[in-house]
Amino acid sequence: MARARRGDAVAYEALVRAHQDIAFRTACLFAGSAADAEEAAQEAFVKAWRALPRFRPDAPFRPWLLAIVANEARDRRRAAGRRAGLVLRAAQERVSGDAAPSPEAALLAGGERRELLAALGALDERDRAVIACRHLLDLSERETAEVLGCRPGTVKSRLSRALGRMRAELESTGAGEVVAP
Amino acid sequence: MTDLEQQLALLRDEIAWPPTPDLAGAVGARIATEPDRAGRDKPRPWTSVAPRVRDRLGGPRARAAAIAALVVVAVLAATLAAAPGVRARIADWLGIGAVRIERVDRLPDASPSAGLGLGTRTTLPAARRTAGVPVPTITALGPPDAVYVDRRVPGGAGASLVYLARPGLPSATRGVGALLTMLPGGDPLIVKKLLGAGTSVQSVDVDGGFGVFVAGDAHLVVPPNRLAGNTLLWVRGETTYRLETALGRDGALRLARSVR
Repeated sequence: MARARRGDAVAYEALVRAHQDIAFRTACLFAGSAADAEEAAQEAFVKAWRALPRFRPDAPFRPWLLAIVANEARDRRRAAGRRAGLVLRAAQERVSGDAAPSPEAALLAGGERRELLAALGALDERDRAVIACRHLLDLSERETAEVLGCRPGTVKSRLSRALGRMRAELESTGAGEVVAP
Repeated sequence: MTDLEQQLALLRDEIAWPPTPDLAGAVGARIATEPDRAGRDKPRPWTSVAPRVRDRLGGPRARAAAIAALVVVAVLAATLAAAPGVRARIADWLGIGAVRIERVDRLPDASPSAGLGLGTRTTLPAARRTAGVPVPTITALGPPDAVYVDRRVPGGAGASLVYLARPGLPSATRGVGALLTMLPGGDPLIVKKLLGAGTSVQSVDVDGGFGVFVAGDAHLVVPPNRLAGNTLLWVRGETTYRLETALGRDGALRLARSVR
């Protein structure tokens, strides 16, 4: 990080490689398509490079980067006039039994997966984003706060309300009885 | 953790995200073509020399004659470069157009943060309007991926075209497959190339004109004080062309022939 801050492009390339998976997936949550997500993530990395001299050396890089990625992806989606959630639906279609699932994951039948994703997709963008950040991307509360542009303390309450609405959505479609123990 | 949260945790492992593209390569190529972050506003070391050289060269006709003389020097020096015994006794440098090539015993350290130092990014039509040189393209490669104009070049703004690496066009430096730079040809000190013992210089025919192919170990380009690989240099009219590519001599000549 110190070398990248001093302008070492090779060191920064290593940083990009270490973070490109989580950056791209974060962009997927907010962009209108995988292609837009790729462009947004790439542009975010370039903007982060330009801003790196102003980045506080004692601050964690990942939350700062993911905030730039999310902003870039949202801006691109709005500029293109697309609705949020398209990539998430694409992810839903891509869920398949092609790869051997883990024993735990095998507990989720294909129908349940589809219902969970459908319920998630039915939420508004704000609810969907906080659930996806915490549970699909496995971001920390701090990282989620950076991505959503709110305080860390707000993430917990916002997540609780979003999960409540998702539970209600599942119950309204009858799926709640399927996923409940 | 609630039941729903447990279900979502299981779902996390089941989602097939779109495959992550090679962002590191693409970003590396883009920031390599950004102005040097550390030295963006620093004057170049030759800016104080160049106006005097321009004054001495005079108008277009005199400049063309000067270029021709430089090419002659280049021919002689390139010939001498092939004979190590002679080379050891003679000041080992040659000039071709805007580029001066020097042999050094030990290559100075390159700046690890040096970008390609190409100037300001722009579009092809804008570069053609504003650059002080012709801005053709490498037609064999199609439209360039990025275009730059460098207004810091004495004698008129230079221009550079970046073609990103692709199948059949391996990366020469930081994801760039081919870099074509056009420099106003009259000032022999716009770019200096420092060559170590492991770098060869061959005279070549570029589309009926004289050219030089620098190959082998990486050499140092000053400015921006960065390492460069195989490079083909030639002069057409009053413009010096510089083509950097990982392709060998024949591949570079093939690309050069399609520059129009």
